[in-house]
Amino acid sequence: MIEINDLVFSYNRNLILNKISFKVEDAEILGILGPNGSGKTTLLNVINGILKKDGGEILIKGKKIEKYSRKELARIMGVVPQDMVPAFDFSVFEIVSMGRYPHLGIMEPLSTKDEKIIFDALKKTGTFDLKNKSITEISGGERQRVFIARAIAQDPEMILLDEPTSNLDIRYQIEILEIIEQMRSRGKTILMSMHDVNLAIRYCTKIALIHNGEILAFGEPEEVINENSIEIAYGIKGKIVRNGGNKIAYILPEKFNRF
Amino acid sequence: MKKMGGIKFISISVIFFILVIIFSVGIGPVQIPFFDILKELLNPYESGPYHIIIWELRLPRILLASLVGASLAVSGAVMQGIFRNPLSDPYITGTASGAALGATFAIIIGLSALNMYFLPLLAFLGAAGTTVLVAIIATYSSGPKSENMLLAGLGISIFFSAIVSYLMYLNGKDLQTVFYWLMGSFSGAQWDFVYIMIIFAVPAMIVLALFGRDIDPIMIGEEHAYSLGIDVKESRLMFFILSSLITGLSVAFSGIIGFVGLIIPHIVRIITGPNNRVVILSSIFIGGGYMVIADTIARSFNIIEELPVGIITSLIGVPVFLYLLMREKGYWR
Repeated sequence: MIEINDLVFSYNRNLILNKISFKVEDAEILGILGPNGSGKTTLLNVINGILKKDGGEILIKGKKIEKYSRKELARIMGVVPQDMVPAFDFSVFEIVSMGRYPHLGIMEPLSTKDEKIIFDALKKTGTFDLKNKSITEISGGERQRVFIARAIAQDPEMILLDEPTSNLDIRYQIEILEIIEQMRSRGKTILMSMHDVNLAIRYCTKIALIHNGEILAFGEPEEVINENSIEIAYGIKGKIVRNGGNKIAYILPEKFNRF
Repeated sequence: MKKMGGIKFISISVIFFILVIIFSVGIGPVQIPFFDILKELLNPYESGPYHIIIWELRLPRILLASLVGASLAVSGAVMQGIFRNPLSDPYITGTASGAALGATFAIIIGLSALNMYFLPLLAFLGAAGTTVLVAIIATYSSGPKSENMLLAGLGISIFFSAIVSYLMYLNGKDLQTVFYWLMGSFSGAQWDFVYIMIIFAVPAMIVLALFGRDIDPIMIGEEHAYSLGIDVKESRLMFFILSSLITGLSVAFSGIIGFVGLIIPHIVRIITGPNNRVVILSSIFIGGGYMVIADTIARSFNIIEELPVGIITSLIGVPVFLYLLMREKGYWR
């Protein structure tokens, strides 16, 4: 469970996050939506402690984040940062095995139990056959799955993902989101920033819509996504399309008709 | 090229290192047969026919070269890792130019002629001072710390090099001495230098190898390292200080020797992959052994005057490196 109260973060005297509050229960998928520059990545980085907050509190499993050591936090929270190609050619197996580092002492090598966890993570993400390949020679979709495998190998209770589906084609996007849904069904709590509102509607159990560093709306997709909130957040008009059961299916943006 | 297993390559490196040390003891103006070398090395307190040549002349020099080679290779591997920059070498944060400034002072004001310990002492103080200066500048500047450290190091290097050039320009009579020191040599090797390296550099290298695993995630990206429980700021500073220490000691005792710190880690990575514990441990023995080979050539190439060892390290090493680079596809993205 993650609870955030009145979170404030500023950078060079610019307020980036202003009084953010929300609560995510176990085994939920929270989608953090909002336009470019709204503070999605910053919010994730403050929650996992890379950036120090300027105010408010973050409770991880009911305990303040600053009470955790870096290593303790790494054992309960895995992170999949935005995609980039590493400059050094680690093998896929080496990358995923780094997920075990928070569980190992300085001199301690990987045990057979660790290896089993690593192989398991590789299998769950469909990257087992890539294990001897270099991280620099696989595709973007494969790379994203490898970093998710590392977060799974870390065996945390919650996983934060920063735009896990960006730069991927639609098939890879679905593949990644299915893996994420599978993790949720095993009880993991997921927080991820996203750009695709329609995929968020489909896969997230909760959505936080952020605008100018503030929470515009928070709740189930049904409650958060409507013509009004989309217009305020993104500055576009859209039409909500509902499916047969009258649940929200997707949003169809209108053209600007400027030309 | 298929990567070689870590333990296998480390074992090969150790054997290579030991063989190089033993064979190089026999090479020089007086050639010593292999079994006589072994006999001497196993009986250090009996004075055999080669006792003085081996124990007083060659061994301190060979051991110093091996310790310096190991230190530079390890320091290069660590710097490339923590700065996520394949072009980093042990001197990238200005240590060498600081040492050069100290050494030039020692030569020009005549301290080095008074006592043989003054030059290494001033060179080391120059290196240590520069390290502290770079760390302070990087800490108090805004923006990403690792880039700032590199840029601060670069700026200080250029500044100190200009002062060294100016001092050389003013003091023409010392030009050759300074110039020869800058190119690096082990001709001044002493047992005391070897002991100092064993006391300070060897433990530092062991700590770097033990904590080397923490560099793996740092090499992928800072967010990655943080999320795996590593305090990037703290551990980067620890790695930076220890590798600057071994670089500073190396430069103090041998001058500025290029190539080893930049290229040996790359050669090791091409063979074993980037796993830092393996890279650091192998670099100790490959770097050490390679420096001994280069120095053996430097001291036996020309009887009248030695060649600066830095010339040899690059002339032999670069073709080997380029060959490996061409064979390896996708080593670098």
